[in-house]
Amino acid sequence: MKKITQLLMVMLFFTMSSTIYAQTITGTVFAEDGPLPGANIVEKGTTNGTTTDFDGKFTLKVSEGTGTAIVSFVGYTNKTISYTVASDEVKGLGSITLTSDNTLDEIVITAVSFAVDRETPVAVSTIKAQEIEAKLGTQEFPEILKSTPGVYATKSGGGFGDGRINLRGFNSENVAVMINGVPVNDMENGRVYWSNWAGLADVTSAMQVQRGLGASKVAVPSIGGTINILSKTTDVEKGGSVLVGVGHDGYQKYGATVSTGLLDNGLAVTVSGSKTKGNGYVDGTEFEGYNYFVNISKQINEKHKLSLTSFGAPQRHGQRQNRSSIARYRNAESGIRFNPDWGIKSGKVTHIEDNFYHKSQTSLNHYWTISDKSSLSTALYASWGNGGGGGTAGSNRDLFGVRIGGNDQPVDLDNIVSINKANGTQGLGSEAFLRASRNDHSWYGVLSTFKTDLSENLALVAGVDLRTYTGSHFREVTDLLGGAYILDIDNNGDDNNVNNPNAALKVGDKFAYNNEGKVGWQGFFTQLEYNNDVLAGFISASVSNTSYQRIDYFQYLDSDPLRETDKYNFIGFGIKGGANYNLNENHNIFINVGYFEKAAEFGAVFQDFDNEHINADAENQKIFSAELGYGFRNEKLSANVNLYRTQWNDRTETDNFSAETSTGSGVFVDYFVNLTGVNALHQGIEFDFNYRASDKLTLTGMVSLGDWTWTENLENVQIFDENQKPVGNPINLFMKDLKVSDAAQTTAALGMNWELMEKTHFSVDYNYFGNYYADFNPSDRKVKGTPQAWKAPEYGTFDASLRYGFEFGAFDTTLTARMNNVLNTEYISDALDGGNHDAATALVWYGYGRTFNFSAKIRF
Amino acid sequence: MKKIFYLIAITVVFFTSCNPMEDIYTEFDNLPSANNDIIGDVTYELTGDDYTKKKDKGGFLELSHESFSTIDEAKTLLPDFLTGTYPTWGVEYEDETGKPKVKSSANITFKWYNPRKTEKSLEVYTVKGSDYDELGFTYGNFSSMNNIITFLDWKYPTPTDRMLVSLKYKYYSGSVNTLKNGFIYVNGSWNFLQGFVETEYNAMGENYANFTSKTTALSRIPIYLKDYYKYESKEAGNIEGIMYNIYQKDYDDIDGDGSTTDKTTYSYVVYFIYDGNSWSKYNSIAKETIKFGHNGTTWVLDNTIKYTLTAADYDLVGNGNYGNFDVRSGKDDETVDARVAKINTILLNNFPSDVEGQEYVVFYNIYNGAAGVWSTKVIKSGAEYILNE
Repeated sequence: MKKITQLLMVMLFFTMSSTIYAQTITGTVFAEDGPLPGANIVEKGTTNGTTTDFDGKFTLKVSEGTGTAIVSFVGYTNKTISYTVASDEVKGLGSITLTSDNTLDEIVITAVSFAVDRETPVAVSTIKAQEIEAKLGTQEFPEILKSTPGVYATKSGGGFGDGRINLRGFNSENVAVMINGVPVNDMENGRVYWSNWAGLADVTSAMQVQRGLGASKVAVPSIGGTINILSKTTDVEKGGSVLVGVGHDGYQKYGATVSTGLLDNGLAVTVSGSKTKGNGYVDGTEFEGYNYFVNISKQINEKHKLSLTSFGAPQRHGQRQNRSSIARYRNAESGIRFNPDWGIKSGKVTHIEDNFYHKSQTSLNHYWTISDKSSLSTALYASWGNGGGGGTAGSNRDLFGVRIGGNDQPVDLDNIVSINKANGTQGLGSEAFLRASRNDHSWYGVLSTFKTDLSENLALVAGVDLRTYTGSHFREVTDLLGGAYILDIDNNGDDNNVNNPNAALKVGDKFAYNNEGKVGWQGFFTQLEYNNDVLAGFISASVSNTSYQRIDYFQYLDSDPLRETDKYNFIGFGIKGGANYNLNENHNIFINVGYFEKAAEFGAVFQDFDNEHINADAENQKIFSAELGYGFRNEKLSANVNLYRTQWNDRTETDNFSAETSTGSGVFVDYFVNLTGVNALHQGIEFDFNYRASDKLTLTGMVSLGDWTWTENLENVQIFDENQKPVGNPINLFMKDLKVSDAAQTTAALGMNWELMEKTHFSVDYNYFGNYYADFNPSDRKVKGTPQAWKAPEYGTFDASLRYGFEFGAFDTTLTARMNNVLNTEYISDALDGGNHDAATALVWYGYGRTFNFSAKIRF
Repeated sequence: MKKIFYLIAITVVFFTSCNPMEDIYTEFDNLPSANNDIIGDVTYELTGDDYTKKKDKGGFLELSHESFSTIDEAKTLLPDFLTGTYPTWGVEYEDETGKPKVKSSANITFKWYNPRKTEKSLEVYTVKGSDYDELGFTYGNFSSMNNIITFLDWKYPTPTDRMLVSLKYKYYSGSVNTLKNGFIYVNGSWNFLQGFVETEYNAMGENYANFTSKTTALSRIPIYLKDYYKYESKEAGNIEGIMYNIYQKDYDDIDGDGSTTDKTTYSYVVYFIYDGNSWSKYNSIAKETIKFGHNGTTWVLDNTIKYTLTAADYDLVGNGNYGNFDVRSGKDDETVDARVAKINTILLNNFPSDVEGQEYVVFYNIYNGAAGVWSTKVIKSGAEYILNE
């Protein structure tokens, strides 16, 4: 502690160089839903400014006795307050309430598709940095959204960064995630890997969930919705902060942020970094992660602003890849923390299943105010990913079933080491070893949005979205487990790598497969916006071409023309529109309707993981969505009701088989089948509110009732060849009326934030999840009359946090203590449906029991 | 304001009373308990103390003799002995279904009182040509054991219990020989006793087709049997009934000449038991081996063989690629029927000589989203193995 104090004193010395003025203004900034922390207050015409604390309060020493203060926060209308203050006087400006609008930094809102309250006709929830800081703690980043309607967020296996989120019942492939307006869903499979963004919470200024079609103009897979994450950019105020956190299971976090503030030359630099490590709540999920964030902004002149942002979060963590039966957890020594996927080697914990990744995201944003009417926002970005997931390999993987004691104990890796060593003395290779399945990528893109006002009320937005992506997929040997080498042969004894046969492979060598997926994307979008005082509407259209190409370095000789496929192109498009009408200052209603077609993913085209069996005609998925919304706002209460209906047709469903050209001919032809008719209907009603009962007490709550169902059977679907001759057996899929799985269809939340005394807040949040059906794939429902997937027990959890702010010398200090799952409720968060569709056969992950963490943030 | 707090308080109380997992755990707790989950496999032969040790001295059987009275008694009492001797042993339950997956087993050898009946009365008879004719044996001989039984039932329609018939008859087995063997009527059926012909008596040091004394008979027959059965695969524990002749005073007028003072050939029954090396007179104490398995509650009879599929087995049924059964929904091996069909193929291939009723518990690797080991119980019924739940 003493050292920290000294450190802070040193920092203080370097940072206390700002000019001391004699007169001071103070005030409190509010948004509709309470105090607004982090808002900027700048003395107009100067770079002198400050930000509000977590109570929305600020104190600013001003250079002139008479002037104007500009109060701003992203997503809100700027407010200017004039003041006159005598020397040595402290003048209170009272409460300043900002209203959501898009007039502030409109260009940013356009570019990142942030929705504006009472104007953008979409269902939206916004979570600001302060709330993330108060509540996230050691939770997974997506979990911060768990009190939002339509959201089901879990930790999955419980490893660091392994969280996942479903929106309105759709998984991550169908939820668009955009960071600063740039889409980040995997270009090949559409998924979002939150471990890539494990440190992002620290530098997030706001996170907005747009449910349903959303406000995004670019073509994104927002079937369930869009999650917009807006990183911090420029801090107006010079200074920074230091963060220290400790928590359950050895959790430790250290971080710091330093900002230059807006310098006279228009340059502003913010640098942030942190380190997190811990043992993990789940056995064998030790982790270590770092994150960095750099933003350099330069206001070139009135019209041009450049901003360079780079961030990433390299990490390595042990995983709980495999789920276990409920009985196995109950019989396990470590109970719900049990993890089958780790072992002991030479007395040390060794992760059999792990994940290591570093995805860096760098973007150069250019904001150009062309004229009063027109603006252009361009993001040029590059992202590189390196890493993958560890697991087992070898001809005798059964050895990973040998444990030190009972089946709840770690895997006996020393046993494998001794077997492999013995093999080595006879010149043989490893029978069982550890590998990593690597999935590296490089991704470059440009996203440019032009906006111009056609008239006072009408604006046109148009833009391009170009991307090029290369994903490298290969396996590498990571630990021979005492062995001398491995031979890379398949089950038939053939070499996996035809270009390097009979090779004795060692750690770091590639084996099993090695190929690249190249994805190109050319998207165009345009939108017309109408806006007057009471009515706002838009209509937008987008079209995109996706091209896929596959290069295989193992299955084909370097000289083989088959090594590299042609490019296969798939067109997707979308059209949507909506309108918001403000009945009066309290009531608004909105509607949005859209239809889009989403091109099939890479895996649906190259189904057989080779370059010969290519499904060149993969069907588009078709989505129709409509939504009605109602909002109520007054100074104490804001409430929303949304009614939605999303029809998801022709979910990618492919099959392939060989059939003889004629009976007995012995000539077989491969057929690809693109089945249409795998359809789901997601409809529901969502209600949420925020009630400021008093200055000191705020209540929040929501109820979300979903009805998500597969709607049709496919019966006796006969496939015909081009001569209308039936081929193969008729296909049956029985899924009608089966509930969509893997997300709670009913959720509810109730929260309370109580200011116990000045700068001291106590909050309690209750979350309820019900109607969760264990995960299953409707493609596997080939037998008539199979019942619903197992419905896991409904559950509720309490979280609580206490924040205490005080002046630590000259430093604004915040202490936060958080406790998640206060009642230590035992519950199943994720389940995989079993053979009997019941509790006994389901494979599950439990959520965490009670956890705590404690952090201190000191601003300077 | 106050109302809001009440609302919150009520909500809190309402929800805290719920333990989400309670119902499932209760359901699971009603499955066979997992108290004894140590797996042991033992092969053991009971020793003297095991039979007779008093229960208050740490014994479990407390029998009066060092043997069981019947096999049924052994079957009844041995579970107590096993439970007492191996108190922690039980079963390992399958994760997914809560059914026993791996069972403790015990292969127990014990002694039991298994008296073999000797004769109470004696009939001596030589089958005549008219007898064969009468019964339709047109070749004038017997050619199967059934022929002889037919004859005995015809000749002795109301035999007395433990009546020994010393029968001289012609028997065709490649060629026609004249044999003299014994048939004793015990508990309603005729049982064969091996007799000897004159050359065999000669081989045992006798000049005629009989022994001169019982003592000589009992000392020489077991020595001779070793040679006599050398081409037959006799196993330890095999008991053979032998009829031997003694030329003696005809107390009962066996020869039917009205005199009880002359001498004639009497036949006697004696049983010998093989110990794997030599034969000795059987003293009515037999050894038996019974296999027990633990069912989670107690020990029960179990002839089940535990078998784990090998790589070759997976290959045989087309699952060689991954060396497991893919039991995920919609996959080939999802249903137990599909798996049993493959197991049937494998067992028929590996154990063609299994008798009907042979039970197996077959262990195999599965993939159900995670790798695991499952087991399925099958029993041979007719010519195939079927599910044995």
